Amino acid sequence: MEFKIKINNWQLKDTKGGIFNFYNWQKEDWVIITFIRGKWCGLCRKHLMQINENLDKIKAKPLAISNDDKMGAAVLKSFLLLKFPVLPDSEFNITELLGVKTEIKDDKKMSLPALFLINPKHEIVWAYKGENFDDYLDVKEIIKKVAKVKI
Amino acid sequence: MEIFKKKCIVCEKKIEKDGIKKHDHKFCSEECLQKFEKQMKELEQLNLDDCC
Repeated sequence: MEFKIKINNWQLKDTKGGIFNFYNWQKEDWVIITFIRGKWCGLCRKHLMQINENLDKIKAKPLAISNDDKMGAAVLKSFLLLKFPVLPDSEFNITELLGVKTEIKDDKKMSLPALFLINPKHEIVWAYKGENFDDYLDVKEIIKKVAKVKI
Repeated sequence: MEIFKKKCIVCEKKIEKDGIKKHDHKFCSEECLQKFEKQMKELEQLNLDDCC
């Protein structure tokens, strides 16, 4: 989906005990936000590893939002040696704000695999929402899409 | 003036002095560091294709 929707600034507690302020972090850069279910999810870890290995090719700053708690997100970032932030959103604040919260069996809530490309004006210019838990977009497709939208 | 003290990533207690710095985080004690590393080791056991 391609469109332009300005997102208001938002904040989340980060893994360092501080407050992550989206606008302050984004500055004048392009950003790609990816939603993952948690550190226990192998497909999510694989997806994050692919992004980490292609940071120079993806022409946008990555930001991961996980349904993990603070410690879980910190463990995930350290374990995968990720060079970009992983924010815990166990209360689904941003997950819900961007419309990717879903309910699975037994009222358990999680985020769908999803990507949001945001331009320097804080506008979402492209979004991808997976239909199922394993619908992660391949990193080659992400690289292509970011490059195409930025032209 | 109260000096801001960083909280331990594991137990959330305020870290006295410098704490223990490892894995890009600060821990208040060896015990908390071990809890963190235990979770990292648990991830090693999981398959990348496993999910949900």
